[in-house]
Amino acid sequence: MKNRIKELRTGLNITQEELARIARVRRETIVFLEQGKYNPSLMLAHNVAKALKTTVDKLFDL
Amino acid sequence: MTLKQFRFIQLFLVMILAGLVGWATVRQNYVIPIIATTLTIVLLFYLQNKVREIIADERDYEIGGKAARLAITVFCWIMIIVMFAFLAFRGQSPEFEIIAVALGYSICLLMALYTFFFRYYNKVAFLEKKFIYILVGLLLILLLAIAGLRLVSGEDNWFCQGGQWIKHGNPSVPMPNIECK
Repeated sequence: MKNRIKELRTGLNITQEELARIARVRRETIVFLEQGKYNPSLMLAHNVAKALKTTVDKLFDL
Repeated sequence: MTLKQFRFIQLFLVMILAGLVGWATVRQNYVIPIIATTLTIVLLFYLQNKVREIIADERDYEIGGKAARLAITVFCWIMIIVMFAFLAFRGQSPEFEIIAVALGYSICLLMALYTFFFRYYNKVAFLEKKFIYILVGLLLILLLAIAGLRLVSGEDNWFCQGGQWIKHGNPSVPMPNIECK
């Protein structure tokens, strides 16, 4: 699933490690999310969107 | 504790345990491996809870679940075939039947554990009366099967004692043609 995680993350100057810590997942999961190779749960999608100061529908290309 | 520190301690403990188990096994002491393994598991479980970082997240559980399900399926099918192979060749050695029975019960235990944990994590139907009745029924069948095997079939076999094959009961297979050591 395409998304704007990397774009928003770099825009906010947040590392993958920091985003993973905020979203309570491993850094590898953030890597897979950014590459569109993993579809997150609703909770994870919400946490990532909140960390990047946006909403789920704006973050993911649904 | 960081994840890196935990992994280092985990590796160190496993190496110590492996050495200890190897040393004890050579001396045919099996109490030390049981105690050491149990203590290691408890210690690692305690230390794991002290790690501040995320050890496993939803993606790990999703992949792990798929992998475990497939592993259980493949393992069970292979072990069933191996079990019947041992039963087919039980005339070669009396231990083959014991191995086959052990494999059979191991498969049953694995399936029972998988069903139990699946229901537990499913949460929805765990406390349904129907499930409890089925579980109790399966346990009763298992106990009856064990008792039946023990009383009816387990004693009729050839046993190697003092370098000679001794008939026990009324074995259905001829005396093994391999040397009794």
